[in-house]
Amino acid sequence: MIRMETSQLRLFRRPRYQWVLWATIVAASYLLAYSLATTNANTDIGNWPQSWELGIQQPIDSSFEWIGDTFAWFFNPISSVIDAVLSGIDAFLLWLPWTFVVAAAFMGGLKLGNRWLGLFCGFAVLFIGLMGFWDSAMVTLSVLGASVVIAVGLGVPIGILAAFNNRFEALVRPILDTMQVLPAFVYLIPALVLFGVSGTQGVFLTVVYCIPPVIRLTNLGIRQVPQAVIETAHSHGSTTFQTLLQVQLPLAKGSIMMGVNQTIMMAVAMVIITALVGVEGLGRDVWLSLREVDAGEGLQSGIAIVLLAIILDRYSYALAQSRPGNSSTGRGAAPGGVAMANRTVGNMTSSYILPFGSMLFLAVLLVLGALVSPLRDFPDALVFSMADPVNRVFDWMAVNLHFITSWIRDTLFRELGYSPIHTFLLWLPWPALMLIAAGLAYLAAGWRVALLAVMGLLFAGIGGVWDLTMDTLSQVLTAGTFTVVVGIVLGVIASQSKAFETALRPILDTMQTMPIFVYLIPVIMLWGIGPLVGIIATSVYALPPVIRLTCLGIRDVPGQVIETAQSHGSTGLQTMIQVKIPLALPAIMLGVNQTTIMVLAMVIIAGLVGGGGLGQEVFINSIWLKMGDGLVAGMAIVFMAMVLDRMTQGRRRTTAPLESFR
Amino acid sequence: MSRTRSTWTKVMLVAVLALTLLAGLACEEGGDDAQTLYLVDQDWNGQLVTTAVAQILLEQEMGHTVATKFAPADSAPLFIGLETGDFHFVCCNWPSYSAELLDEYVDADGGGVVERMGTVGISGETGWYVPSYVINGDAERGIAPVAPDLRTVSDLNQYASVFATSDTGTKGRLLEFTPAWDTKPEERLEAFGADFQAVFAGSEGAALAELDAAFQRGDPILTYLWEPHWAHAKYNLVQIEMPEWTSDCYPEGSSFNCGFPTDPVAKLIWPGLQEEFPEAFDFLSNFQMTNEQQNEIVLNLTENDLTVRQAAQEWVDANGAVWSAWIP
Repeated sequence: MIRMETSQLRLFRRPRYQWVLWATIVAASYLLAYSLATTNANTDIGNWPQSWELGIQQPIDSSFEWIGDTFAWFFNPISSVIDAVLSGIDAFLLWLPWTFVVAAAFMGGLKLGNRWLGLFCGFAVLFIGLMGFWDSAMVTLSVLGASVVIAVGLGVPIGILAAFNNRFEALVRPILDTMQVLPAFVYLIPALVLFGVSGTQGVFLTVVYCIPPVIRLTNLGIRQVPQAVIETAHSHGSTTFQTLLQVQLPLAKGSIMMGVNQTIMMAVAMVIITALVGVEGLGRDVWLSLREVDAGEGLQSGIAIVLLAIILDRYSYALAQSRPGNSSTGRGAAPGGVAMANRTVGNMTSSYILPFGSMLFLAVLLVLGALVSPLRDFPDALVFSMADPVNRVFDWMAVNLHFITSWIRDTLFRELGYSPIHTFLLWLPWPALMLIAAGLAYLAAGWRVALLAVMGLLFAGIGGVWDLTMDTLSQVLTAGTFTVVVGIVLGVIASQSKAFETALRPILDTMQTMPIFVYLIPVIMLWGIGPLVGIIATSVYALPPVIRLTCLGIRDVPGQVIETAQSHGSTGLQTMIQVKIPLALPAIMLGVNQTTIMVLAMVIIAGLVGGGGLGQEVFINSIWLKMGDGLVAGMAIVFMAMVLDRMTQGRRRTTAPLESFR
Repeated sequence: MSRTRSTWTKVMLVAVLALTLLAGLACEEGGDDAQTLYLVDQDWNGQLVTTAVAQILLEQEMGHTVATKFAPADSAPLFIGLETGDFHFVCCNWPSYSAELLDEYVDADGGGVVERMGTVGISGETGWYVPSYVINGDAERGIAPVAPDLRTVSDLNQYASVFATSDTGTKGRLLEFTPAWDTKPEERLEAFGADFQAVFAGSEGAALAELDAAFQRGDPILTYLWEPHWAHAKYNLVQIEMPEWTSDCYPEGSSFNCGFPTDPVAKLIWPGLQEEFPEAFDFLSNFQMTNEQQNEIVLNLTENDLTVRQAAQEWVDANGAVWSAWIP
C-alpha cells in the first residue's frame, strides 16, 4: 500500500503528470468558484480586518504639501523656462506654412527611407490637415518634441551611468518599472502642485512615462559593446571618457536609437492624459468628442494621433537602422573596432542633409508661404469630416449587434469568467489568499517574487484597499485569461495561414497605436458600462503581443524538427500540440508577459467606464486632490503589475544577457 | 563639383534654419505678453460660448489682449491654475460638482486662494431623467410606452423590472456618472423606498455613451443628469419629480427624501485680477448670462454649424443693448 503511494507520488513528479495535477487543481478551484458564484455564497469571511488598516494616506498628503511649499523656488523657474520654450516651438510650428510642412515630411521620408515612406509621410500630414486638425497637431507635436528632447537628454546620461555602475543600475531598475506602471493620474496632482497648470505639466507627465526605454536601451547598448573593442581603444591610449565618447556611444547608437524610438511611441500614448492638465492639441480634441459622445469625431482625432505616431515611428526607426555598422546588438561592428566607430561619427552629420535641389524647393515654399496666405494657413475650404457616417455605423451596431454583444458580456465574460473569479477571491479568507499567491509566485519565479506578492497583499490590506484590489485582480485575471487563450489560438492560426496573418497585421497595428479613449465610446455603445466592459476593452487592447509572438514562435520552429515529427507519423494537430507549441513556448511566454503588463495598464481605463476597483479609486482621488489615497491605490496596482510581470517572466531574468558581461 | 555642391547645400541649410528661427522668434514676441488676460475654456458648449462672449467684448470694446486656456470641468487643474495666476477668470463653476475643491480653495478658513465673483446668471438644475418614449412611447420608431404612469419617484417601484439590467438583477438601474461627484444616489433611493440600484459609469463620457446607446435601441433608461446640457436637445428627456428641496435636505440638512438644490453657477477669479486688470475686473463683475441667452447661442451654433467664436460674435452684434451696460 505504502509502496503504491510513493510510486504514485513519483509519477506526479514527472512533467506530464505534473501537468495533469495542475490542471486538476485549476479545474477544481474553478468549479468551486463557479458554484460559489451561482449560489451567491457569503463572501464576508474573506474580508481583511478593518482595524488593521493603518492611515498611511494622511502623512503622504502632508509631505507632498511640504515639498511643494519648500521647493517652489526650485520648480517655478524650471516651469517658466519650459513654458517659454514650448510657446516658442508652438508659435514656430504654427507659423510654418502648411505647404512647407507637407513637403518637408515627404522629403524627410524620402531621405530616411524610400519614396513610399516619403509619399506616406507627405500624405499623412496632408490628411491630418484635411480632417481639420492642423493647429491641434502642431501643438501636440511641440509638446511631444519638447518631451522627447528632455527625455533623451536626461535618459542617455542616466543610461550611461547605469551601464558603468551596477549598483546604480540595481537602484534605477525598480524605479523605471514603477514609472511605467503607476497610472499617470497618481502623480498628476503632485505634479500640478509643483509645476502649476501649464504646458510644463504636460511635458513632465510625458517625460516620466516615456523616459524608461531610452535609459534601459542606452544601458543595454553600452554594456553590449564587446570587451575586445574597448581594450583596443585603451591600448591606443584612450581615456575612459574618450572611449565612451568615441567608441562605446557610437557602437551603442543603434540600441540607443531603438530606445528613442520606443520613447517617442510612449510619449504619443500620453497625448490624451496631458489634455486633462490643460494641454491643448489632439488629446483635447479626443477628450471633447468623448464628452459629446461623438464617436466619429473621436475616431478622426484618433486617426490624426495614429498618423503622427506612425510618421514619428518610421522616422526614428529609419534613423536607428540607418548605420549598418551599428546594429542594435553592436556585435556586427566588432571587427572594425575604433576605426569604424570614428568614421561613423564623421558621416553622421553630413548624410542627413537633403540634396541642394530639395533645400531650394523648401526655401521657396517657405518664402511663398510667408507671402501668400492660402499657402501658409491650412485653408478651411479643404477640410472635410467623416464623423457623421462613422457615427451612423456605430449607431447601427449599437442597435443591431446588441443581441450578440450582450450574450458575450453576460454569458461568456460574466457567468463563466468574472463572476466566479471575483466571488472566489472575495470568499477566500485573506491569509489563505496570501498563501496561495505566495505559493504560485514561488513556483513560477522563486522566493523573491513570493515575498513581493505577500508584501503587495499586505500593503493593500494595511492601505485599506483590500476589496478594491480584489475587484481589480479578478478583472485582470479574467481579461488576462481570455486574452491569452484567444491570442494563442489566433496566433496559431496566423502561423499556419499567410493570408490570415496579412489580414490581421494592419488591425493589430491600429489596435496598438489608436488611443484607447477613442474606442471607449463604441465599446460602451455595444457592451454598456460596468466591470465587464472594462474587461472586454482590456482584452481587445492587450491581444496584439500574444498573437504576434505566438505566430513568430511557431514560425521559428526549425524545419528539421517538424519533419522528424512527421516522419514518425505525427498528424498536423499532433505536431502542433506536441512539438511546435512546446518549442515556441519561450516566445509565447514573452507575449503573455507583455500582454499582462498591457492588461494592468488598462486598470485605470476600466475605472473610467464603470469597472470600479483600483482604477476608479485613483481617478476619483485625482479629482478630489487626495494624493495619499491616489498613491496607495496606485502602488497597489504597481505591486500587482510587478508580481504578475515577474511570474510570467519566470526565472528568465536571472539569465538576462546583461549578466554575461559582468 | 560634388564638393561645391555640398558646400552650397550647407549654406542653404544654414540659411533656411536662420530664416525659420528668425520667423519663430518674431512670432513669439507678438504672442506672449505680460498683459494677456487668460480666460478658461472648459469642455461644454454653454461654457465655451459664454467665455467667448466675454472674450469678444474684452477685445473689441475694451482693447484687451485676451487668450483662452483649457481646463477640464471643475477639476483640480482649474483651481490650481486660478490660484497661481495661470488662469484669470472662469465663467461657470457649478458648486455642487466641486464642493470639496471649493471648500479647500475658495471657502477655506482664513480666506481662500481663489475668489468667487458672484453668480453668472445661469442656474443649474439637477435631477433624474428618462427618455420621453419610456412614458409616452414613440409611434414613429415603434416603441411602446413601458412606464406610462411614471411621474414621480414614488412611481419608480412598479417599474423596477423595466429598468433592470444584467448588472442589477431584479432591481431597476439608476445610471450615475462618477462617484467623484457627491450626488448621494444610494441615500436618495433608500429615502424614496425605490427598489433600484445606482450604477456608476465612472466618467461623464461613459455615462453619456450608455445613454446614447439606450436611446438608439429604444431601451428604457433612468439617468442622473442636469440642465442646461446638450443631451436634452438630442434625446428629449423627461425629469422625474422629486419632493422639493428645502433647507432640511442634504447637503444643508440631513434628509435625503428630497430633490437636488438649484446650482447658482458662479464666476471664479484669480485674486490678483482687480489689481492687474482693474477695468476688466469691473467688466467681468457686471457680466451676466441667463439660461435662455446661453441656450440661444448654443442652438445657433449647432443648428447653423458655426464655430463657438462665430456664434458668440453674432450674439454680440445683435445684443448691444444687453451688454453695453456691462462696459465700465
